[in-house]
Amino acid sequence: MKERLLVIQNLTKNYGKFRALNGLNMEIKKGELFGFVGPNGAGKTTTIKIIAGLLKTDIGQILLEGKDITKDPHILKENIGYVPDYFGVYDNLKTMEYMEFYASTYGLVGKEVRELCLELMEIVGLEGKENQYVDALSRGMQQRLCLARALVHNPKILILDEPASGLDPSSRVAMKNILMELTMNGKTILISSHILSELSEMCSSIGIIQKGEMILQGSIGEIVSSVNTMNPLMIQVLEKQEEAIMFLRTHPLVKTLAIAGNEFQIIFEGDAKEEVHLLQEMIEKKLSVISFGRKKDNLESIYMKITKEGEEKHDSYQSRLPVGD
Amino acid sequence: MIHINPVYQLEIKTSARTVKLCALILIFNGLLALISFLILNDMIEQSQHLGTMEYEGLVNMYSIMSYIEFGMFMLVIPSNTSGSISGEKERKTLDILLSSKMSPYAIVIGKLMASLNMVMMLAVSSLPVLSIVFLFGGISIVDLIVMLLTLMISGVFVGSIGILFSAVCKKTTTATILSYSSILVLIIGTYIMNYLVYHLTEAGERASGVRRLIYSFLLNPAVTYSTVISNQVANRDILKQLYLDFAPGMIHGRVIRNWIPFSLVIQLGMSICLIGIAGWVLNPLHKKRRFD
Repeated sequence: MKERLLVIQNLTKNYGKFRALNGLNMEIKKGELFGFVGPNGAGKTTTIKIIAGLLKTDIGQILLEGKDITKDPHILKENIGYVPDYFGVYDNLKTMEYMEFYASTYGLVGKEVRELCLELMEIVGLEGKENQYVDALSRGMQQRLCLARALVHNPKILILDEPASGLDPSSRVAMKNILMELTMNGKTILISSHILSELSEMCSSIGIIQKGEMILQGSIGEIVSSVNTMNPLMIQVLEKQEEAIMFLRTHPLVKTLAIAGNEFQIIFEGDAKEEVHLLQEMIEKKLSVISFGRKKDNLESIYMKITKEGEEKHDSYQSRLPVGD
Repeated sequence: MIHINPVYQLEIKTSARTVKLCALILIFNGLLALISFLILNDMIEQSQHLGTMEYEGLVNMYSIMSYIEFGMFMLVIPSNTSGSISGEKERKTLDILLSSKMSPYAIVIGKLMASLNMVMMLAVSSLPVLSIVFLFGGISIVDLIVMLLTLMISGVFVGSIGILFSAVCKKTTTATILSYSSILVLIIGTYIMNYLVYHLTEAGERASGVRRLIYSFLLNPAVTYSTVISNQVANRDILKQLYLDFAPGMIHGRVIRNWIPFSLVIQLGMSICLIGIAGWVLNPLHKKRRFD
């Protein structure tokens, strides 16, 4: 089991009367590529800014390898690499100078640093661009340069706030590949994004935040299977369709049955064991089952489902509040 | 290996690549050279008619050039410093800088040092033109050094005001307006305040001549600078005149006798405070941020 690297406990942040974070809890394991998703205004950027030391928390703790980094900005800055959603450019600065400047802000100077910067630029696919002015680079290249910059002090965790926003598809793919490569090399990454299809392809775990609370967190597989158990069961038979229909209609755990050719969609109120039992029964009856399984959701539909549920729960809670609260 | 402030290093590198600095040095020295040429030309023409050269004219040339230098500093420094941190906010580079290991104080000091570097370049580059006064004597190198030192300290002071507003304001325009307004308050406002208070007080009270408000001029870089210049060229003493106008009873006091060191130390002290406040404001873990 992977060791926990970053643990967020009961993080609360208010902007005046507005509660941006409401006791947020989150865990990121070592070497994980963690996708942080949520609707606009859910509290993603606030959380990221608190982790990056750019915002003070009202209540709560952020533990990095067990140490509370909200109390020690020095540890925080040494161990966290931050990539904001927007790449700010200094005029008249070459890419190598840009890298060396940020290295020097971490006290790193000298020949070795130049070599390190060249290495990082190679990792992000910017080799040969050392003498190019930063403002002359494309948006995608600038974002990759920013990523290389965030790695200059070899942080334990890399935090990226919507790094793909405003990038063209090929730049997005390039960025995704770099992040996956970094994770394969053992880097822990927290990434917030709206592009869920991309997150599902690269992230090992995700956390869904809504109204300042973490409503779901876990590995992609866990989340998908937990949501899929509520989905209809899809069964396809090769022959004996009439027999199959009869069998399913009379099964006590089958609530509804929809037929489309040789494919049946049923609402099955049983757990995984009962699913196995149903399949066994069908095979025993020689119903020639060629496919059997819960309808699979992608991350996007899971996200939509979960955030909608969260919204409804929140609204019903709000409606139960006494007038004037 | 000597570790130079990274922000200072960056600013020097990027500003050296722009035309702005060269243009500023050219305009600044060109103006000084033109004025000194006109004054010298006038003096030579006069000497051709009268057969003698007036020493007063040379002294006046030094005063005029010194005041032009002071005026240029008061105009250039705030415009430069007031955009230093707000510019980072506008470029959206400040968050990255604050997330690095550099402390907000180090960032502020780096910015101020970069502005002072420019001021130093202006001051040093003007030395050859100012050295015209050595042609005829009367002004020593020590005088020139004292004048430049006063100018530098006043530069640090107004620069710190610009830095503070730059740290507080989100937009450079707002920071620049506030910086210039504050400098105007220091230079003209202190006079108006003394004038109003003096004329609004009772005649009996006024007669005592003891008015501690006169010390507000210690914060006025123009008064201190003019005191330095008038001490050097021995012409009209503005400080003495201010004392005669607003606090005649205090004219023999310890403060007026040691006005220049007192004022320079206060200006430096104020600069340190302003830089400290700017650093505090910039620290994201101190500041209450609005939702963004």
